[in-house]
Amino acid sequence: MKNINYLTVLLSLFSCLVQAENETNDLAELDFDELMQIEITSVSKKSEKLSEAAAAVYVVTENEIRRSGATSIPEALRLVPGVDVAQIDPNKWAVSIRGFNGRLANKLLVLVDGRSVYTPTYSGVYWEYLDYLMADIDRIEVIRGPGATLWGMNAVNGVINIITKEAVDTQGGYLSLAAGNELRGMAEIRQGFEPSDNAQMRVYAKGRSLDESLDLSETDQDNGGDYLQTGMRLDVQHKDDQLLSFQGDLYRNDLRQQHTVPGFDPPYANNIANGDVEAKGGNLGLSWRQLQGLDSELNVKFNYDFYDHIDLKYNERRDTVNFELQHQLVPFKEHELVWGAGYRWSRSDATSSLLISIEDPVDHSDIWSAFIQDTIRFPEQKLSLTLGTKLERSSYSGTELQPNIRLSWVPDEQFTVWGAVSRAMRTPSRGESEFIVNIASAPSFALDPNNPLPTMMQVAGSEDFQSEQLDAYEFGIRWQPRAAFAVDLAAFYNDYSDVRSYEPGSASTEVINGETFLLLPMDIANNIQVYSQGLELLTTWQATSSSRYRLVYSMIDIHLQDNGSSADPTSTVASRTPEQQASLWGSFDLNRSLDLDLRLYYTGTRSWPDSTVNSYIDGDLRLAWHPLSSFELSLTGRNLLDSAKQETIADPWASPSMIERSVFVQGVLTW
Amino acid sequence: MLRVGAWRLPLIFFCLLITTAKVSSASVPAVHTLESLKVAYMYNLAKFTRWPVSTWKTPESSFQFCVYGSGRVSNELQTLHNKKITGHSIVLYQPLNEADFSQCNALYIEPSEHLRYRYIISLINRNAVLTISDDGRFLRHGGLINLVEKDQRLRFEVNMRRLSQTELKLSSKLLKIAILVDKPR
Repeated sequence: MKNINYLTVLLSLFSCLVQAENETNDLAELDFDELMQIEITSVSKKSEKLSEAAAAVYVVTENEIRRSGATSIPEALRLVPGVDVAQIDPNKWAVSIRGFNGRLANKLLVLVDGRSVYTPTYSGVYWEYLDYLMADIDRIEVIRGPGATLWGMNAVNGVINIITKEAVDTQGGYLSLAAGNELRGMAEIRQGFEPSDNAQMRVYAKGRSLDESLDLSETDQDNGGDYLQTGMRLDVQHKDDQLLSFQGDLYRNDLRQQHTVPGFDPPYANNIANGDVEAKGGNLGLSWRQLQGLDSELNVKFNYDFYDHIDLKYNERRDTVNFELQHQLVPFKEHELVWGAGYRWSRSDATSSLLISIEDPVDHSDIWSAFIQDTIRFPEQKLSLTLGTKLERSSYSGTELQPNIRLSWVPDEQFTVWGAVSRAMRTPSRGESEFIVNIASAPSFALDPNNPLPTMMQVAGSEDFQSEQLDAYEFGIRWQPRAAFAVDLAAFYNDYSDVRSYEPGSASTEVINGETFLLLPMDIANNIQVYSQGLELLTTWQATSSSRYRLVYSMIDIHLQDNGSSADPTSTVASRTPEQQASLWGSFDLNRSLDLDLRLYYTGTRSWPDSTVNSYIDGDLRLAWHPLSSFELSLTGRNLLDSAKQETIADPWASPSMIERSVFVQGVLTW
Repeated sequence: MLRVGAWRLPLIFFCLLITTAKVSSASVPAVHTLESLKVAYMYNLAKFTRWPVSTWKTPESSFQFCVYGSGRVSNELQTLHNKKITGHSIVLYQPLNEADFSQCNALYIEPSEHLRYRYIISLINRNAVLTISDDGRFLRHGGLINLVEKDQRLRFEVNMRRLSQTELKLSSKLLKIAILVDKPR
């Protein structure tokens, strides 16, 4: 019976695969009267021209962001080829590429308009601090594999580059209101205007309120959140060849979170703790771009960034100043040279808590960097060779060299073959260098019947902890046999060395919070070697002028080797990455004013030493009605196939959450 | 492993997806690509434009249709090769250095090169080049004609202020169907 079901599905799939392509006759021979009668059926009809880049690149377009119904950036990254997105609780996300996912995913670099939002405190990204108006995002460029030569340290497994629209593209007004069960409410407003003939500006504000998730026994947790962000951008064109851009954002989040924390008082068992997360932050950026002829361009960029983060684990204020210069030129025929230099200074002021103790609250760090990369074209052989390296010196890690070599062969418009070998480093975070973290406790006699003392497990950062290193080997094929059909396949083999390990130290007794504990220390060291290999496949198909499909599949296989002495919790790094992920996205223009998007996705099992998050299949749906170009009403359903399910587990102090089915209605008005 | 029951809903979901696909593909009109339509407009725009008498030295001189930037419209423009504009054969031309731009009779700039609109326009003979793009920002930066989508049809905007500064003459028929813009914004 079941087989018959499959057969029906397959048959119906094939029956709609058979579609004749329409040929075009010579429109140029028609006159205006006739041309003006021709109806434009859809905005983006064909799949984009094949990228010739010698890297695994995917660009999330404005249209995809809109049709996914995403209200935040992590939602827009779900279903992107090779990107693993899992929601931890309403406010927290785990996003990674090619393994190593977690709340503290530390091998992925994330940039907003070229500004790094990767925090050096724990080597990761606070996704909840990036609450932009989704309609103001021009595109999200996702690069799988190392990007360290251009972007620098921590661009190990990938780079996510969020690019906001220029002010000129956000002229006029935009108002969006949404309400639902999990997204309790959202309001977004933006106004663009033109202060003078050669300058455009926008100001925006966004507020969101999120509902709590459920714990594993399906009772409400105390972890909702309220978000507020506002900002502006001013673009000025000075003379014919200079562009100035000035932008700034400010945010304030009032979130609740739930943790499982060690007990510092009798009976010393781990317990559930609820607490506030109060985050304030903002940034200011100034960039100047000078066009120097047709092929040459000089960019100078300055940023200031701060956040003030208060929660039950620790409080931190961080201020960062960043300066960058980049010059692109064509020094000789068939050469495209880009070089640049940068300096970043950052100051962190952190306060200890019972969970994290910090000896010296204030820490300064700086990074000097320079890079050069040349792309040489061999038109006869249809080859393109890229050679480059970055030289970087940081106060956490000393001097590092991060070179890459890339080759692409584009025999014709339908085909690209590429390969790359590159090196990237992940610098130690402030936490790994100096924080002492109380992870878990156990009552007296619980672990050892002869031990009358309560036990505390502690992870201790070390000044000796060094950068992790990756040598990556990549290969890819892109094939577009017809305008409406394209395949993109990438394969990789990653060889990581000096990956973080936790070495059990010798037990001792220590007084914590006035109580004497038996201390089981775990010291951070670089004793793990990791090998991973995988495949990522993307197929896009424009079936008809009004229907599009995208099929994504990725698999990864990770092996660890421990060169130290530990019975090692890091081994979970491998098993908490799903071996396989797949998704299917169908996009349909039902008629001129009605869009339907159906998304179905599968994520494999993730496991931890003492728990497992099962594999799941889930689906999203979005139905949008836009009777006028200035008005749209949409209904979005997420996680529709399960009333609530767990997607992943937060790294330290986990308090597992089930993410519930979510439905919301959104109205958008533009003027 | 997957639970068996877990397959049922996805299957329904999937069937829905396929059914929708079939419904939405049931009535497919003959589709012209947007790019070919844009190119047809550009050809017709050029046909109904008059250049200064001194523009071509001999009747055999070619019509230099310059293209800057790469993209689908630029690719599609190649189909105009050898068609005639007021008796001059069209030659598609991609300027490689600044000096080359002085050769252009018409110029299409890909929107991906929008940062260079002003710069490129500063390189041409502003009096006698029909500049075209398909980007709302183009006119503001000194472009003459912008192709726009309006009510599911393709139309074009003409920057009247710029036009009056050139020696180009657009036919009255053209101006009648154009969207006239006095102050681009």
